[in-house]
Amino acid sequence: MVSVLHSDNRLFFRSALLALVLALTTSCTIVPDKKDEKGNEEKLDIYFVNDEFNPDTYVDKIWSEKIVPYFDTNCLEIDTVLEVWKKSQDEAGKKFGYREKAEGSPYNFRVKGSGKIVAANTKSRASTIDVDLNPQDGTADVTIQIGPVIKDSAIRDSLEFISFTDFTNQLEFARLSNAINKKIDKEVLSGLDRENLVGKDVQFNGSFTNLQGSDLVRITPVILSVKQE
Amino acid sequence: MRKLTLLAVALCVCLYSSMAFAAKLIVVITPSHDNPFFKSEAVGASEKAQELGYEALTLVHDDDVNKQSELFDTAIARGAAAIILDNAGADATVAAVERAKAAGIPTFLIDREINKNGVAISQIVSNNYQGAKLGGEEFVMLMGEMGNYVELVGKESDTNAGIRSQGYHDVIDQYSDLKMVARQSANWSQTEGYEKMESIIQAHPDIKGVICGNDTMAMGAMAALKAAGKGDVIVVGFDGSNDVRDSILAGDIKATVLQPAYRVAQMAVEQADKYIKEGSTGLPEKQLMDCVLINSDNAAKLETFAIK
Repeated sequence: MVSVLHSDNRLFFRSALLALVLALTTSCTIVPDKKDEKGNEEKLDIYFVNDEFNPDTYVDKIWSEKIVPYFDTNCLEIDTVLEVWKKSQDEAGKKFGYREKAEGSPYNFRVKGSGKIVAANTKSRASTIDVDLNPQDGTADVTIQIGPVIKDSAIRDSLEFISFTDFTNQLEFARLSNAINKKIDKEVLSGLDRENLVGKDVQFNGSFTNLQGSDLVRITPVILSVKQE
Repeated sequence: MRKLTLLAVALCVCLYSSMAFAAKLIVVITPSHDNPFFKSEAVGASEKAQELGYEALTLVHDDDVNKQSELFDTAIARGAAAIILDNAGADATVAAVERAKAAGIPTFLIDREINKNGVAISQIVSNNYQGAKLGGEEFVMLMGEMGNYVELVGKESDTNAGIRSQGYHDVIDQYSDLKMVARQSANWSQTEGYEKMESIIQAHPDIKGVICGNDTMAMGAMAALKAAGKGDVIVVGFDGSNDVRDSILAGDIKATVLQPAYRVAQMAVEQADKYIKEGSTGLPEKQLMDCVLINSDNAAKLETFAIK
């Protein structure tokens, strides 16, 4: 009796192990992207990059729990910001911008608004749309990044609950921003009908960074909804 | 009796003044001044220290962790009020900074960070990732988005070597017609940059560009390329030294990325002064300073790691 039970247990254990191995192998094959990326990193051997910190997991955790709600409640009307911005970027920064410390880093502006898409540059990997804000006057007021490559780190640097001091080094902090931008591409931008954007109404929130020697307002969106007719 | 009292008083005054004297010393420790970047840091920090009424002692660790450890012992023995440090290794330096902390001496890091937070009071570093992306984008543009290139990487013990390489590749690797044919560390050194480049040219005579983790390696690479009759190869550096400025103006090296080394060193002393007087800098420990792209458009305005 005892020995039968025992062999039953072993059988159960073996099938459980088999199921686990199967599950692992299958899950490995569903995420070839991740495997490739890791392979590249290993080939490149970037000093100090290790697997202890996984930025993608970290961002997955804070995206809907913290980042989206934060932008829901902490964005200014873009008109308010641009009115001052057009006169003085410095003044707009002091009044509406955020940066973690006082000197040597640019201000970031969390904004929301709506308007019409008047142009789309989808040839570049770093695609953008130009938006004529409401009330519309027929000319583009701002640029919104629509990926898949998203430039700068406007979203990371707009989150007041994220501090460079909380990360081991610059590599972790850079990888965090890359992971946030990647998440935005996946969650916010991958569903866009990229060939049919011009002429559509759009509503957004997000952030832009005060770029060096430029007055370009280049917004990285956290919410971007294109109205379908 | 009176004599004894006088003597005692004199002794006290003597002791007191020597203590006060010691309390006003700021020790500035950097890598070798052979690289003008580090010299600029040492000058920036000691000038600001003297301006604020401190005595400044500048020392070099030559990227030797043991030597750096001895210099920390010197600073502790002399009762320094603060240490300004551009360190000799992101992991190996943690212990030295902890030792100073235990002795009641605050350390303010510049340029290079350490892999532990809460030990130093400030870590003011260039936004190397942002800077490397600027340099990478310029390099891609100069290369016309295609061709064979070489990367010279910095010293392995320094997170700046890793982050710059990461920034370069996050940009360059998006262009499939740009092909990296060699990638080697030249340890931030001009001599090594020259030697490594010399042998790379032998193996890969068809190089179109060289992207370097810093300016001294770029200077070495450029010299080797010119010696091999390949002066038209596109070379890009990182730091914004006067040497590279002159090379850009002469049409040799094409671009670099300015790190505000002089200002960062001064900021570290200002923060040390505030910390000594008020017990807090009022700022987060880790602080990033944005870098600026330098090419033939603005090179003439560059002087000693600052745009005039």
